[in-house]
Amino acid sequence: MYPGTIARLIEAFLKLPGIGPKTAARLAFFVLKMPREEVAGMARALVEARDKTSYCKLCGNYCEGERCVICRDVRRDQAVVCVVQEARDVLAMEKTREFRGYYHVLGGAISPLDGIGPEQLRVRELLERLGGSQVRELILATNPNVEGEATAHYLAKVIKPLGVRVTRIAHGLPVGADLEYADEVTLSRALEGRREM
Amino acid sequence: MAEWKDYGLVLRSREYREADRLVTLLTRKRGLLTGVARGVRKVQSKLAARVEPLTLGYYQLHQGRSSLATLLQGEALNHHRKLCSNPLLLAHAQYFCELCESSLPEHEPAVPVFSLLLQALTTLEAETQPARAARCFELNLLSLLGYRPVLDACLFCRGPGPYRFDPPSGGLVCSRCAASAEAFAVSGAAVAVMKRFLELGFYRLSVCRVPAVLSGEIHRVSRVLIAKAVGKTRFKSLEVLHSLTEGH
Repeated sequence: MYPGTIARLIEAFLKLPGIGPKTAARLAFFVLKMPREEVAGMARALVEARDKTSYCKLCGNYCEGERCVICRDVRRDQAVVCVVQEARDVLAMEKTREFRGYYHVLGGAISPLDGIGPEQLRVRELLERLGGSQVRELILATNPNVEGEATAHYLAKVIKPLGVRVTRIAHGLPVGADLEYADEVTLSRALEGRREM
Repeated sequence: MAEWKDYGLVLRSREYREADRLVTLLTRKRGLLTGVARGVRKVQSKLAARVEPLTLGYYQLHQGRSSLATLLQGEALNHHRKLCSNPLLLAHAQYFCELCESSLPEHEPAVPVFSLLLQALTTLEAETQPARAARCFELNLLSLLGYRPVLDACLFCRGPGPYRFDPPSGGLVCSRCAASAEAFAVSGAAVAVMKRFLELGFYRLSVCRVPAVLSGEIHRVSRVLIAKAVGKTRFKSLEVLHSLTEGH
């Protein structure tokens, strides 16, 4: 239906997650109307990101080079490591500006239905990292869902014998929410995790 | 087109589009179905916790022209939280879910399977030997699917044991009768436990002793029958389960 180059461009957009044929065609025609320099810049950015980005050898976060920006920062607290599922979770935690320790990215969570067990995650790397290090506390910031909970329990079980304090991020109500609209599960978790004032 | 309410158990929940989830439910009245839960990956969503895997809930669904239903509302009745606090139990529970998902056709009532799965998850929460519950679930599911193994006597001469299990005929064959090349030996103790599982189900399962060797024998029988019933031998959750069992 379209000339070869446009069809190839649509096919390329179709490979992206959440993009269907209609959106792919709309994006392709948008690109055709963009200035040539912008298109060239976008193409360069794509290739450069793919070529230069790798995983940090220590924490598993995205980086350029061997270590990520966070692992290279010596001003951070070496005694605390926060375990997250995905590299994008590091960004979410960093936005809080509350956490000054280091991270460890697992690369997923235990999900038997998807064939993901502890061996498919960066658990061995975490244990190697903790062995003989100054880490005193490990914060488990996996998602508050079935897979994230199972992963947190698994990690707590294997790490506690190493003498490291293991903590879990709190579960509860989002800031600004109305109590009457909260679902029963979140509310019961919020009650469980209440603290003295 | 139509809205209805039904009890359902979330077998699987996976990310879909920007903030939605595709939820596979085993419902009481309409059997297996897949529905879209819109916006549940947003923090404000009220439905998010109610579409977590292994949640038993009372859901309101809408079936439009699409083959996918839409989950409108839900009330969680049981989250089976104990299963989430132990990866080995979770792997067993998700193996049960994967078996049901693989063996049932969509939109066909499966009340007995729904009840069996609920019983299995409830038993599993208090189970000290999850493998025992798994063998019991496998055999009872096979029975409901029409693949109940014949364990009373030799299929051909009705004679006494020792027996071999003959996969093509789905039952026991004595040493005097000719079995197929695929037949393998099963002990009298394994046959007795399998009969107990099929007769009593999960009733007082905790008093039934099933050592690992027996569990292995029973699993060999159930595995070949599951392959016949479901048409597949590879279950991702079972592979994770095995890797976790080896690690224990």
